[in-house]
Amino acid sequence: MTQARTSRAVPLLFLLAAAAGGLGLLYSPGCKLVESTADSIAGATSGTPVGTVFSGIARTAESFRDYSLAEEHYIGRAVAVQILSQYKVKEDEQLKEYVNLVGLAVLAAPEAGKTFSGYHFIVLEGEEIQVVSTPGGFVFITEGAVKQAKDEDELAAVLAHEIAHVTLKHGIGAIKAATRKKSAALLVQGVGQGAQEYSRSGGNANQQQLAELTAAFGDTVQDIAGQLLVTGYSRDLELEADKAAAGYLQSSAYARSALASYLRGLAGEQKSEGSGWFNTHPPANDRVSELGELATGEAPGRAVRKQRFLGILGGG
Amino acid sequence: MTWKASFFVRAAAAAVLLLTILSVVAWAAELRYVTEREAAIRRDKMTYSPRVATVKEKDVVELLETAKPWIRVSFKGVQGWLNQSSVTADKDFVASSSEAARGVVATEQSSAERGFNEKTERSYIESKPELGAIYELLAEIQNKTYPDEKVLKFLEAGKLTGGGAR
Repeated sequence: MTQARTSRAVPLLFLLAAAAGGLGLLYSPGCKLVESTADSIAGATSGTPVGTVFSGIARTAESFRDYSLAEEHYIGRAVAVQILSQYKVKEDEQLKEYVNLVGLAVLAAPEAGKTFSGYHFIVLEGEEIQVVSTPGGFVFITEGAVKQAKDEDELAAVLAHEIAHVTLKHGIGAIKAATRKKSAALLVQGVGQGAQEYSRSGGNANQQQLAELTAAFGDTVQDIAGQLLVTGYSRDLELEADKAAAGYLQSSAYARSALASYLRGLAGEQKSEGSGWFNTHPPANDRVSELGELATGEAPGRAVRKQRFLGILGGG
Repeated sequence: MTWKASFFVRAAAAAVLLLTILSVVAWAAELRYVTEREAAIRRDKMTYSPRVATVKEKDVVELLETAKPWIRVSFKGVQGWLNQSSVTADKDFVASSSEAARGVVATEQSSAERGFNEKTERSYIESKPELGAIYELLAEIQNKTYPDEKVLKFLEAGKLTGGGAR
């Protein structure tokens, strides 16, 4: 009788455990359950090979986790520094302020995602047409790309496209692939030799680990900057950013059609082997076609804003 | 069953009931954790609506209502609207990133190991002294802010107040 009860109780316990685990997975964001379980086991078996292995599992789970706004901020700063090492900031206070205010006007669209320390719009010297954004909300636009716009709404459209890349975490998506490799390398090291040392140091990364992290950080930043400035995002991600940008324009009371009109202007400039923006974005005409209905839509006050734009650019 | 045993059973049952009620009350208060360095709680569901309170990273707000992409929250007795991208429901998420930024590794799998924090950034700058001046330039850029009043004037002058501004 007792045996029969036990034999029924065991599957029941498993069932309850599985249900609890299932509920935990439903409730927990990302790999929290895996991490916490691995952490618990690692804690309970601290100092043993089992503990080391489970520490490794927890670290692996961490490497696949989403990035917080603060993490995106540090990544973005490092990438922004790479861009600033290749371009010079345009020293024109009036233009700087104007471009920032246009960017902040677009950000009135509540669908635009927040960043850790806000967005910063930075005008770079040069006639090359280049617009790029980093995680954390650093948006760079060359003087040439500003002048390419025919009015404020078109400038807003270009900035909206970059805000969309930040909101949709396209830069972070590019980073994650590289980071996984780096994290995996550090993980192997941690499991193989560093875990006990790590534990002895009270959880603080020691100097050697910090040096390795720093090197991995630097390599990763170089990879990302290369992707942003040389290879660019995939066609699908660019089109996704265009569609989101059209939404931001509409929500912020700019003309939704301004993105298509800016792109049409660029199509005339597009060469088979261009530089900057032309190398990193799909053909402008294709993008206009893909926008479909989103390529249309006017907004009141466009003429007023055009006068303001021309006044700043010296054409009014 | 003796009267003593009966008393203990009743007391235990009452304690379980009380704990259950307390758990339900605690569970009912949905909390959110601020992930921005600083964010404004707005009077209305508008990006530049008047600010009724300011929250900082790791502050805890109570979720009252969701109207995507906005959430109505309560913070220190003040109620208002926050953009939902300013917060997370995951308490651990906030703790690990901010503790890593202070150089503290709370758990073995902290985000410090991914290298994206202030401590590694300092080490990175030390290893590349040529970048120091550019980081300073970036800090200058970051320090330049535009108050809501200025943005609102710009929106009004450009006839842009018909959107999500306020």
